Amino acid sequence: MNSFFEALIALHIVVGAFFIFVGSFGLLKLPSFMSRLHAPSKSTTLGVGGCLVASMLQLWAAAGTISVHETLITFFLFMTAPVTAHFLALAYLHTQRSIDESLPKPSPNSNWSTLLNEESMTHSNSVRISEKSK
Amino acid sequence: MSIALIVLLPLLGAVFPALMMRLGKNESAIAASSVTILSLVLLLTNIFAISQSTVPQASWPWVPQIDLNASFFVDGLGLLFAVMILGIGLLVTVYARFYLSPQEALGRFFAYLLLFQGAMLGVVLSNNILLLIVFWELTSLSSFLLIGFKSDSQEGRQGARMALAVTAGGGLALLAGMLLLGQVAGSFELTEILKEGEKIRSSPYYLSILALVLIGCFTKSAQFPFHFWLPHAMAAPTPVSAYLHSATMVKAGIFLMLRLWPVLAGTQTWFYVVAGTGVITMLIAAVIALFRDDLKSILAYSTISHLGIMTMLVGFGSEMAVVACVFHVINHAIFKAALFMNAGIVDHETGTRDISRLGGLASLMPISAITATLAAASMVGVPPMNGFLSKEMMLEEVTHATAIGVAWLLPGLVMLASVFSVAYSLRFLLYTYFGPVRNDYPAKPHDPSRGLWLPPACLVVLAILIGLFPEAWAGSITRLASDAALQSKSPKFHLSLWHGWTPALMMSIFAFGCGATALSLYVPVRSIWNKALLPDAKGLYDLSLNACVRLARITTDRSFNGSLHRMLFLFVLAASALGGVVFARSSYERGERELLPINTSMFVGWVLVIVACFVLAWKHQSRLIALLTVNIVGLISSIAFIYLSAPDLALTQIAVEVVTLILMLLALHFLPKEAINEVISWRQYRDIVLSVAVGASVGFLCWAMMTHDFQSISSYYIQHSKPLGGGANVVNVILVDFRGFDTFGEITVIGIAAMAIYAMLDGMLTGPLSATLLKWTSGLRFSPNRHPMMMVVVTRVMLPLAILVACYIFLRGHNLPGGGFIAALVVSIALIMQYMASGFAWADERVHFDYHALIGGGGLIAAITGIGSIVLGKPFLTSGFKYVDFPFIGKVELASVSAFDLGVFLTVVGGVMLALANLSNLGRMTGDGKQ
Amino acid sequence: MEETVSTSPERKSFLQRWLPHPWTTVSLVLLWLALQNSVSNGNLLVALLLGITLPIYTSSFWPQRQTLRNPFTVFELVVIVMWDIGVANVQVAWLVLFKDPSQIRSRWVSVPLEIVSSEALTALAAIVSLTPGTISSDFSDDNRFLLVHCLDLEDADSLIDSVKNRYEKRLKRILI
Repeated sequence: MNSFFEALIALHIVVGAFFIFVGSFGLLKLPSFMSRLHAPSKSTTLGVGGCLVASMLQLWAAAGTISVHETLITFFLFMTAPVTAHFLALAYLHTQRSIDESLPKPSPNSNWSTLLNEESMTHSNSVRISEKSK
Repeated sequence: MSIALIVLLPLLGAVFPALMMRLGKNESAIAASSVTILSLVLLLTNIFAISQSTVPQASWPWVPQIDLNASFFVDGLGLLFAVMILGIGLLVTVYARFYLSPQEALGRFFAYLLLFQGAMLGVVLSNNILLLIVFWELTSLSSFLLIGFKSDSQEGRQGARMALAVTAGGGLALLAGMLLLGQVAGSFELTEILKEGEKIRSSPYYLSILALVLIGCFTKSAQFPFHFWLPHAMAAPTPVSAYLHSATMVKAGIFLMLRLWPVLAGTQTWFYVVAGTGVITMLIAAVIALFRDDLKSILAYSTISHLGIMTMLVGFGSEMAVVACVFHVINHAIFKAALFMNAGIVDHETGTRDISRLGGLASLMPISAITATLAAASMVGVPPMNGFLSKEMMLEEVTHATAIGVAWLLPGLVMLASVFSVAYSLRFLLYTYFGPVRNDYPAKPHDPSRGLWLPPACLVVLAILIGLFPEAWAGSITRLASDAALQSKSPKFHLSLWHGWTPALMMSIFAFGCGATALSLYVPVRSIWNKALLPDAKGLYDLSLNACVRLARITTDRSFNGSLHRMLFLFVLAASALGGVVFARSSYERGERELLPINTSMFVGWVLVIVACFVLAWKHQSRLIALLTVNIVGLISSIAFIYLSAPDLALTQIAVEVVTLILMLLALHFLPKEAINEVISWRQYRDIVLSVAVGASVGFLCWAMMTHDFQSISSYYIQHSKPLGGGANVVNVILVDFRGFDTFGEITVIGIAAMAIYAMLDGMLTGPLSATLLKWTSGLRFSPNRHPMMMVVVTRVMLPLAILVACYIFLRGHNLPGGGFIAALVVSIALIMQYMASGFAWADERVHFDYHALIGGGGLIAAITGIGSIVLGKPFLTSGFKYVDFPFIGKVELASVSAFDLGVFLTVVGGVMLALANLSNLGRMTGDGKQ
Repeated sequence: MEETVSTSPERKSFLQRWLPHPWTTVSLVLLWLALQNSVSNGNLLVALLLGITLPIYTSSFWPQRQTLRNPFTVFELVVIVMWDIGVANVQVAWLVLFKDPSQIRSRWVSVPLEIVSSEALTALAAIVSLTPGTISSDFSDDNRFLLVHCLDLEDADSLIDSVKNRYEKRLKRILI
């Protein structure tokens, strides 16, 4: 493995680690729950991505084989990370419903699905099925 | 082969009568009797060989490691007992066909009867003493079923339990005795043991062997002080009493004493214990029999008394006494079975067995009266009946025996017993059949149908024939059996009706006179008896049984009172105490291996685990935090596994961690969100001390282990996994191949556990708890957004991808980290996500397989894989693999363990899904989460 | 997300029955080959086998048959998203490291939507979340608005504009 590859790999690891650090730091520094939520969801994308690229490069340089498993890891992360963030946000909205004044209303005759009142719960989001007891 | 078949036929044939019952009672009875006849014919084919002094044998190894062989032999003694078992069995079958009412389950009855018959044959024909024990306990079990046949009567259940407790308990003592005997003799085969008489009698274990074997024999043959179970076993249907409690099972103890006579008899201890017990039993039972009113109870005590006679004869230790005993075994079986059947007829026809309500039946039931009179005459010992002959022989032997240096002691006691014997026999006969005809019988008595009176009549005819022509009808079999019992030529004797005016005859006549006189004084004697305070054997038995139950209950209540906390405390305390004791008694030296330097990442993980544990202990009241910290520990462990190059374990750990988390979250939903805030008490300090101590000792143990060099088995596995198991992944090869049997057991456990969870949760939803549960609310505010769209869509898109990944993990498991278990967890997680995202009912409707079937199917596939190797002549679960070159595709390894792994996969998916799905269903059906 | 269990016995076409999600099949085949990290006849055969059977088996869990209308736009979209992720990451990093927390103007933005299928909505929400600085937090009950939380935003309209023009426009071409 020549020094060029070593440098390249090191660069990717450092960049990845930097973004992971930023994510962790943001978690500490940012003031509110929602803004803190931004920080860790970023580290999964670029930070982990950088490390994975480094891993691919290393395998290529050392063994001469191209490993595509790392892309799969990235792919699965990209599929799941937004859902996690979404869930956390939903949970926040659910627990904090009346506190946040700045929350806009989508339109006069609708509301965010988490904030629907019990009476206006028209089951728009729940799956309607006949009860099937097992 | 044919010898083993004699035993196996009734055991295997036991199903036929039960099956034939669909056709009718007669067919069922015919099936049962055909099995018996077939077995009898097989037995009789051996007569010629036995009369030529050869012993037909058959033997197969069963569990050779513990010297347990399926070996059988027929000698004279075995032949005699087997003929009795089968012959009387046949008569009882006929009798029972007509005796039992149409409402009773005749097929089941015959099945039990055949089962008993086979077990009894096994006892008398086994060559291996361990096999004998197996059959011995089997007779206890089958007699339990037979005594408790009328399971709706409390008497029947109690009697059955008592008989089982006493005889099976005695069987355990016998087992210990037999093990000692086999060790001392150096073989577990009777044919070998019988040659080692000297060695056994002079062994220091002789007394232990004797005591243990005799406990077994005495309990089975109802000898004092274990006699009390037999009268209570009379709750059994009368055919059972006629068969088990007169002719066969109770003779098993006598049989065993005769069998072991050459090795155990001949010492002073033997004489005093066996003969003493026999004479005491004989006397006490004869006395009690006189004061019983139930016909069967009289017969039961009479049986005990006669068993006492036989025991006494065996105990004498003289060869002629053994001959007398063998002869009495034959005679007693014949007349007592006839009498029991007769008592059954009386019960059947008059509706009562209470002797005080009977009398004068002779003119109403002449045939029964004649058979009863003849059989009773045999029991008392009136010539020319067979009982007379053996009684004379017994008295003859008694006059030769001297106990504690007093010549008249034994004859005196036996005389006394004989007087009572005459008295109860006369009472039985006279008070039932003779005297004035009454008009208050519960039913209108008349002679029964032929099927009922013929079997006892056959026996009575045999009794007369033996009495008149003893040498012709019983001489040779008695001789054969005595030879076998003595293991040498028996002394010359000639059976004949008339022996001249011997002292024995004088004693008989005297006893007869006294007995008749005693009966004439019955009323005043009875009133004295009724007033006397007598110890009640059953009462004592109940007392001791209750004491045992109470002790067990107290122990259980004190230690396992339902408090998980206490159970854990006791468990951990016991485990650490045991470890401490072992450690204190061993010498410990510090290990030689050098300590490795700790690196940063391990240090961080270590700190994390410790912090998590502290947080857990500190914040455990909040269940969510507790759960999360536990998960931290789990994840750190999986990282540690990776660090230590165990990717398999890491994968498994992560998958298990996820499943556990979901499971716990679903379960936590039903618990209060905050545990009760306990006041710090001494108990918590106690727990802290204990846990610190345990933690420290486990840490020390690990340290001690790892600082020592030790040879582990892993190098063997690493070396052989590829050449022997065909897989490069050692962990997987160990799981599915080297230790496949373990895994097989484990998946069975998973299946059972899942079924138990299902049963419990299903029971909660349908059982008495359901009302409370359905009304239950968690008190939490639920979001109206039950199924966030992103989650729904992503889980649906991911499902095929996850299953594909599971396939990949499954297929590569043999060579790379993976395998059926991990694949199953991945599939389970993917599926449970569907339940969580889209709702229980929605997902449940779309899962096309039944989880129960998955569990069963998985177990079945794994079992079939294992059995497949048996079919190919290899041990269970032997694996095979082969590299096959397919055109176009290339070289593919085909391994039988893949099928086994598939079984693991299916069972785990089924088990996990069954548990998770039912837990989430519970959440759906209850509380404010209701959909 | 309006859904009913399809109990109506509609007759499915041959393709609907045997190839319910052609693009899932393609991605399964690719995923299998990527997992095996090699392309051989045997692998391809197994990949096709699984790629065809798994979607059929799981089609009941994903009842709507979705096809990509304009496959090449997918690549365009992927490249744009990747670029945005890179750029936004740097922006957020600067924000986190150097900006005074009290100066960060976090706010909620409601983005009106035109796409309707739940797959497209999910994809859009995922893209929004993946690009740093924005998290798609909730949908309105009629799925016509997306609630986005922004870490630091001055002008709501510019965000709405970029979401609609950069992502939604292309998504509309791919999915309905």
